[in-house]
Amino acid sequence: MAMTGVLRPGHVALRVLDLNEAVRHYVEVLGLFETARDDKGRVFLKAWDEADHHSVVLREADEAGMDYMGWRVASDAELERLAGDLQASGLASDFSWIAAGEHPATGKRFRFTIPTGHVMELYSQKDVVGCNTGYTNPDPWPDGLRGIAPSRFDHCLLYGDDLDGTVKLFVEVLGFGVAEQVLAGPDKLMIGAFLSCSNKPHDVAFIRQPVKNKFHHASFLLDNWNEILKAADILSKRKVSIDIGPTRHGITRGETIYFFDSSGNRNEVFSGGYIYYPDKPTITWTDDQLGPAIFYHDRKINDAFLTVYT
Amino acid sequence: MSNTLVESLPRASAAFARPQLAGTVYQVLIADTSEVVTCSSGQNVLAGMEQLGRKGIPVGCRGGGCGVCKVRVLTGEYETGRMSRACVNQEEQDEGIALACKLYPKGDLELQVIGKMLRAVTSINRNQHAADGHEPEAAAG
Repeated sequence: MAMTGVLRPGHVALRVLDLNEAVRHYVEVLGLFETARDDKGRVFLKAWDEADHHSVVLREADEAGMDYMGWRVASDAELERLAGDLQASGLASDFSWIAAGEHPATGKRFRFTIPTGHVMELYSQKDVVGCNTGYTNPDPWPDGLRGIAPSRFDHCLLYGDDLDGTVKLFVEVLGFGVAEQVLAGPDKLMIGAFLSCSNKPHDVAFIRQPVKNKFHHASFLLDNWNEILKAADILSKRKVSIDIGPTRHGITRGETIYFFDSSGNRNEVFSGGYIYYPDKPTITWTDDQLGPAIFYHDRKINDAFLTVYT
Repeated sequence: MSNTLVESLPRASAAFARPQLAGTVYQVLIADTSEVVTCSSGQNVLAGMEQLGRKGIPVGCRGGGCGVCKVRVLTGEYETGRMSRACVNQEEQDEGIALACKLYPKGDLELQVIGKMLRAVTSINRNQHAADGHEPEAAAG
């Protein structure tokens, strides 16, 4: 298909309180593969079906949360064009170019801060490590998987105050569509936006909260409901802190379980959803139905969903 | 019938479990609710609370990252694990504030709950709409 501009979420960089515990979580429980460590002590990981060198970056710090999220764009020319558009938009700030190689196996990145306070990056090159099945007559999945073993990093949900500004930036400058939105009250204030740059129901989502730069979860893709149930078994076996699930989201229709890494950063594994096209009508949820919108079976507002973030 | 069973369960479990626990067992009084939580040596206060279905301290990430289980220790000896500085700064830590999920009793404790769960998304967002971008007091960090 003619996908241009921003292609997909490429990486998420997370702060963890104890690096060894975190690596144990992301490798042994979640089932990512470590691809590199650098001289700053950062650990780079990828999911089994991802071609590119890494999609998760872990850094030990004294606060949990997200450092930044990176987006793969289609070409060097698109990277330059979007960097220019972002600087001209008046919607972003703190622009900088990060040199090629600062992330291993990665080209230069254009970094900026969005109105909700989150740091985002665009890049157009990352070395292909590949899936262990290879790309010629491949088997459906490789040997040597362990833990939950999602196929890819899929999206993040982020909390911040200036939702309007951030949505405007993603839609008007970066070319995203609004797959779903949550509107509150008679004045229909947007309190949630689920944004897609692809055929997925969301590549990133934002919830309006009176905070800057907060991280709700990073999500990883599984094939089906049975894999979600098995993920729950693995999480309980490994005594990982489970937030909620297995259940279904009304928003995006995804089947889901939420849990926490060893530093309190929320993870999700999910399956299902639908195919999004740019001409698909935006789905709207009203705040009186926010319970089933978030957790379709529970149907009531989940306090932890709104309160617990890093 | 079921009431009797439910009510007797925590007591019966505690009585049953206590002689079997390795090491020392500590009593943690949550002053706000007068709830008493039992923690075995090496067990954090939040886990001790959750294990027998007790309530009183909000449960969040259980990993020292989100801050909703923030408490002030009023009396007693304890140790803490790593807690996100976004939730408990050094000054707070020095004066006895901790996250219950990273709070390990070294004796009987008395504590007060500081962390809260937010409720009602609409009011949160309404307040925020007019607000100045500061975290709501209920966000506890």
